[in-house]
Amino acid sequence: MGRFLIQRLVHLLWVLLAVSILVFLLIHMSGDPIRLLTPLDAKPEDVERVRALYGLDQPIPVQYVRFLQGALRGDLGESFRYQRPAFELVMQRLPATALLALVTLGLTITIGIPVGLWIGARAGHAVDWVISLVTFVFISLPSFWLGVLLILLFADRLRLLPPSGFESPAHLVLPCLTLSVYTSGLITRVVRADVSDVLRQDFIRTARAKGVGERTVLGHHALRNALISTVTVLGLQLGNLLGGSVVVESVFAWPGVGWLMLQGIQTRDLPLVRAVVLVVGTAFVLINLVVDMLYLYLDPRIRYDHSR
Amino acid sequence: MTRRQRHDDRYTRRDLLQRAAVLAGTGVALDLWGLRAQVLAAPGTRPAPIGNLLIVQGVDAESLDPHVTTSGASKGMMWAMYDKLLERSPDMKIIPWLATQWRVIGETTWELKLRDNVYFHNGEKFGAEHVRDTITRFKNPNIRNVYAGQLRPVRDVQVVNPLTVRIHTDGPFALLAEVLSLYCEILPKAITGGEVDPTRRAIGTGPYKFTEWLPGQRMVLDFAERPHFSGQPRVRRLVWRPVSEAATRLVELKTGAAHLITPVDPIQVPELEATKNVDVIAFRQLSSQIVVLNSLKVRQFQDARVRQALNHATDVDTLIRTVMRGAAYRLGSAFGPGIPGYDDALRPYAFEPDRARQLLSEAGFRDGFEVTLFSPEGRYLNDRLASEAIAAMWTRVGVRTRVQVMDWSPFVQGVLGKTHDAFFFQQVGVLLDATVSINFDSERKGAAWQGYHNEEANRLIQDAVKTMDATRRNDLYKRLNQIVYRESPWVFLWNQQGVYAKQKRVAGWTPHTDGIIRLGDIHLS
Amino acid sequence: MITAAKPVPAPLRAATRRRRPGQFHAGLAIVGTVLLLAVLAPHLSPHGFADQDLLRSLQPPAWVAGGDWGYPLGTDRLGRDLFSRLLFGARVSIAVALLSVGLGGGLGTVLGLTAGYTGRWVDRVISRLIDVQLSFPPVFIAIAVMAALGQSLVKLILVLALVTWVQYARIARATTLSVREREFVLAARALGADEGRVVLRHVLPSILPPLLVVAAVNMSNVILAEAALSFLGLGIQPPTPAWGSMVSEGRAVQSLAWWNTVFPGMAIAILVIGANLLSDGLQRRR
Repeated sequence: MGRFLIQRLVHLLWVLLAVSILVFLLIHMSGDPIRLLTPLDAKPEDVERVRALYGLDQPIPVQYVRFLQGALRGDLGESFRYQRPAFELVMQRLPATALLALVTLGLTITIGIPVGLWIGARAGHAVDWVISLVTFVFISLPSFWLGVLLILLFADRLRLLPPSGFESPAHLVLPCLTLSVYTSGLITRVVRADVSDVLRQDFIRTARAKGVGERTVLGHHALRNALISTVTVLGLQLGNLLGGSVVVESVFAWPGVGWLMLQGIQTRDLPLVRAVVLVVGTAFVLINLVVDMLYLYLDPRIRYDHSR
Repeated sequence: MTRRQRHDDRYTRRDLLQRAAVLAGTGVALDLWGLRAQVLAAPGTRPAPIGNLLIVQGVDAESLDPHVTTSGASKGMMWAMYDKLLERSPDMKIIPWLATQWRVIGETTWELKLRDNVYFHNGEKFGAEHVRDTITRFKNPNIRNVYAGQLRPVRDVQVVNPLTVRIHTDGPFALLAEVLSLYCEILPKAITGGEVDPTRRAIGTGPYKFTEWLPGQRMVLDFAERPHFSGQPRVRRLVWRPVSEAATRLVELKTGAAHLITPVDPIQVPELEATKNVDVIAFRQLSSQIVVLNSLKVRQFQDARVRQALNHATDVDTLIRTVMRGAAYRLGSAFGPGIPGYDDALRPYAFEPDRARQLLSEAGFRDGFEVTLFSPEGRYLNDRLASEAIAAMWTRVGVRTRVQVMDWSPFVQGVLGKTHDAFFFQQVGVLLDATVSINFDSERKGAAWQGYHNEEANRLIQDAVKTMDATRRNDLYKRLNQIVYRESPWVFLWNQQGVYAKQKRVAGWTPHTDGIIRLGDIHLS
Repeated sequence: MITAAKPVPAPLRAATRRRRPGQFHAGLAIVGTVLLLAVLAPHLSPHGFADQDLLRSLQPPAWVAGGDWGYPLGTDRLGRDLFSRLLFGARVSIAVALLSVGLGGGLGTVLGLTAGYTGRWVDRVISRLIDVQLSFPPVFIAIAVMAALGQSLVKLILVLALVTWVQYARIARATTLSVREREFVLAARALGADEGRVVLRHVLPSILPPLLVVAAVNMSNVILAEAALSFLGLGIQPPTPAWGSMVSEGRAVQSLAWWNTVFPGMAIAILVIGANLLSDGLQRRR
């Protein structure tokens, strides 16, 4: 277990290094950041002076080395646009994204797993058919479209819910709903498939023949297997959600890191984008770590397939 | 979140929820918090400011440091907290502000008389030393102030007495008053002395004081307890939120969450006008939209006839009616009304495609030629849509035009690098010298200059800055305008209509033609 | 959001249902129809996708008062026919879907197979690469790259391919590893067959079936990703229509001119449903 953890942490460092280089290259390849920070009617001398103040007049490798030096001290640089430590800005926005992710996940689990279990046990019946159809549509809807339609219906027409931002708990409803539609549809289907799989297997028939109650059959055996796939999928999903579901945050003006990154890229705010990407990357790896450990706990037979 | 933030969140949430609930129910807003404040105010004192005002703009401030901010949206927020020496009236005339009088002594000295009894939010009394220290700081090369060059001619600032200041310039600097009415917000010694970081905390003399800023989320200002010379703030708390989608801003206003929104996409105006409790305010903006023709890149554009032809080929009135939904005012020449140099004798180019073809023929391009029209995406209102429509119009007279839409960054690179054949653009035009220098001066070859060359124009531009007499200066600009009109390095399109939408209960506020929100006497009735 | 619609590795999931065999065919029909419409777009659309008629701006669909059967689904704010734009938008969606899946799948298969078959340091390098890339949410990468590099159909396809190849590579490598030790492969090698032939004739056909499943699943993800990128303004260059950007353009008038947001979104959903039916059907066939 200890070796495993160390391996993963080393892996994390590789990832962070690769990603920071990628971000650097992207931002610099795509044009001069300084022009986005200065209006066109600024005099050229002022623009050049400000460029030097931002440290953008140095050759790119020098800039990268400076960044690494700072990063080792815990300083991820200062956002060009907001002139505050980029790390601070990211951490300020991270809770909003995390909240969105967690509430969505909560909704997904509380709806997806029970419903999946329920119809998995009734595979082939009318309810299964109907709900499977519904979930099928759910996983096919583009999230931004759903979000726009929900705003149109609930905020604009019905005036029931706020359209954007995060000023109150009510603001959580529409964004989470938008994200949950996809994920709960997915989880329902996954659970259903696993449950109906498991229920067909020999050992279930044996258990039933031995007189074990239906509830135990369902509760123990089916659930345990379903949980494994669910954990996998949720692990992937949470990573995505934490990645900011940039689209949903953008539609709802949700003050999270996904939207922050998008704004950062559009203004070529290198330190900000870098900080977002590094923080999110770290979170993603750590979460995957947790998922992997959960895996081992749930089913010791599954070995983590690390490259040899 | 800090405890302070959570407390403020609760306050805001409670208030908004109350308002939303009540508005939805009865349509009458009972501001319980405000009523209580009024009841508690003792008779004879000024009425306590009431209510929260929520302003939703498209973008957020770039910084809390007023010398670093550049966007109109930022300035609106800064000028609620900070004051400048001079200000502008809604039709952009210069008016006294922290300076009550100003005059020129000789050619190189300006004397300003300062207002008495003005205090910063931290208690410092405003005086001549603050002016000196702030101007010094404004010009400090270590501050990321892209407009530092605007005060380059200032050599030093002399404190004559606490309420009088003399500014000495290198050579005649005719535009000092104009510059001081737009730049150089006055800072307290706490900031200029280095004790307080202006990117963390704002301390000014304005009617509102800084409470909190969550970048990208909201800026919260509360009324300053001391009354302000411009009138007292009548709103207790100002909250600014950035929402980048026009559609979402609209819904925020309709649901009652926002009190004032900007910018409003003109296509939304009919819907807003049909909404109860909402007012739409439209005004002619100072900034103008044009198409810039690059004669460095496209040799056909070196011939004035070709440029005039394109003006004749563009059906601006139809564009205004359809793409801009009537929310624009025809721009006949380089400068619209309200800008020095405006000449209403210059009639806009008539839409005459035949004449366009004829001019092209005369210039030797009867078979037309190919051109690419560049446009940013979503940077200016309807930039892409207008460009696509214009491209179609040009193609019809033989100038086969393809539209290339770009992200802002590469677009700007192209403008600066003079690599776009032609591009859709906006000129701000408040500080006229800045506009004409970067566009028409072939000696200085400014940021937006794309090859236009006229000796007399250069001379007029350079002389105007040194001409202290306002009337003579305006004449120079008028002559410049006539030349540019005739030679049309631009296709003149329109002055956009600035549209704000607000709840009917928001009163006491008029928009300024430069599109920056100055709060004035704003309040909720 | 890009994610595997089903947990990997796919071989762990057994076929469960026998009762809906038509899924694969239904999916094929839908995707095939969209492909056909896309190919025939210039002939089927009543107007050009860039033809403006500013006086017809925001005309409602034909069956609503004020509509016109010449513009069956209404017009956008520049008076361009929505139906025509939908047809041309299909080209983008289908092209991106097929090409990025093809490219990503091809790349992933080649790399995964090489890693699994060759072993040693090649395997270590490729596996490290896969691991590093898997550690990152694909959406992020796609958005970051497209936002930085600018709009273009080619870049979009490349980026989506580069972001998704790992999903194929992982499966390809895993199955190659297991197939490599199977009898028929060992036999072929013992008989002295040249390695290349072994790979092509024996290994590749064995690893293809699960890869096809991944491809089908991936296709629906890619369609959604392209739509999302277009919506954010990071996809193709206007005025070429893309369904995602059409939804975005329609937002400013979503309350009054609902057809601009509703129809493009429906088109995306229908195509994705088709792709999902396809992938579901493919999984059940085994």
